[in-house]
Amino acid sequence: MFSNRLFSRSFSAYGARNVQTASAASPALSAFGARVGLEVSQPALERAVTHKSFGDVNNAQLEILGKRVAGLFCTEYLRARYPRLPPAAFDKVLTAYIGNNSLAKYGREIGLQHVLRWDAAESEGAYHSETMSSALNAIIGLVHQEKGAEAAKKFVHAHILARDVNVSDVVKIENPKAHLSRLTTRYGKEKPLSRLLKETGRATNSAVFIVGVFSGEEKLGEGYGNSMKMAEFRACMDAINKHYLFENKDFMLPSDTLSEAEYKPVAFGDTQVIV
Amino acid sequence: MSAQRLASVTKNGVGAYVLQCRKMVFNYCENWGSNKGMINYLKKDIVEFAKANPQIEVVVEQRPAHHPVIRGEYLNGREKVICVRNMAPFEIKQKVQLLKDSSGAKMKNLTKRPVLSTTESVRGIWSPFHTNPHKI
Repeated sequence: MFSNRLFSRSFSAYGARNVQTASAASPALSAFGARVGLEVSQPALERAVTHKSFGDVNNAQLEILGKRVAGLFCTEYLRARYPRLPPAAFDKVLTAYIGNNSLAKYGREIGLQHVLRWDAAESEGAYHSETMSSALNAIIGLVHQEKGAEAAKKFVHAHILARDVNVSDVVKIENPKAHLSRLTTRYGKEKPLSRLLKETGRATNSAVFIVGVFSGEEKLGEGYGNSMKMAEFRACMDAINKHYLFENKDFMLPSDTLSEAEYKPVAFGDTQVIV
Repeated sequence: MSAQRLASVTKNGVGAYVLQCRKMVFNYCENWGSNKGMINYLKKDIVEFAKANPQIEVVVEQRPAHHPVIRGEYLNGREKVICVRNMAPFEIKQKVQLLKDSSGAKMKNLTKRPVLSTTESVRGIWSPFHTNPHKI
């Protein structure tokens, strides 16, 4: 009996995989906290990564807070950076930064799936990506609650806003020629006129046309295509994108007032044209 | 029009830098002689390494009747295993540093193409075999 106890105790130590325990002293969790740069207490972090399907002590309240904190800092940043972006396009860009899928993808890149606590059977159809994004939102909420707004802003800027989103085809317009015409009218410019700049292989199956759309002497945009119509379409879209995707390089954010006294607001961007 | 989702790509280091090595497992045996250096490393240097790298989960496990092994697990899901049999503690330290520095990606052969670029040259690299020969 005595030897059996010793035998079983020694064997449980060999090859024991690091099982995710429910205790607050989880090494994987503290490693995760250090990796992401969180200086919060272990029990608080544990609560933030616990989905409501796991138990009563969960991240539901922190998620609510974190979602809006992330929303605020991302929205003010993107509005300052792209002042002319139309609402529909802006929503797409914002979702690319803080949408569920985007956050879940980032969570997987930082090893959140190894510390996440959830119960698939009890989650009422919540997908893994939803639980991941809820945990990440809860972590942002936790930083805000424990460390304050400045720390939360730094966290959001370092982790979420440092990611790269390609905004080049986010503006979707059905009739770009008409839209561009309205835009030029608004700014008192001459009506847009398309001109063929370069062409090659007109009678072949692989023709290339380069069309520029001009307002008087000024070239607004340029496009290529294997038909003149396609090239003109792209040229008008290029001109429209140059306008709406205008990017501010040097700007102050409203939340800078938390740390700095002198605040210079970003100028309002023009609204989109109604066709 | 089309409801395509816009993708976001992480640029590690632009904002926050996330170390790609998330866990290191040290396996040793009490009896085999090849483990001598590993056991000395575990006695002397490992605590210092673990303290200096809080973002790496350090696990020490006995694995009887085997050579000593260090297993690094990475955020991309892959793992790298290095057998450190008959190595002195300072050599094991070098291997630990190697595992820490790795991203976990598969090793690429860099000897064939010396230039790695996302933009190939427009007109091609000059070659003496494809120019006009000198005529007297």
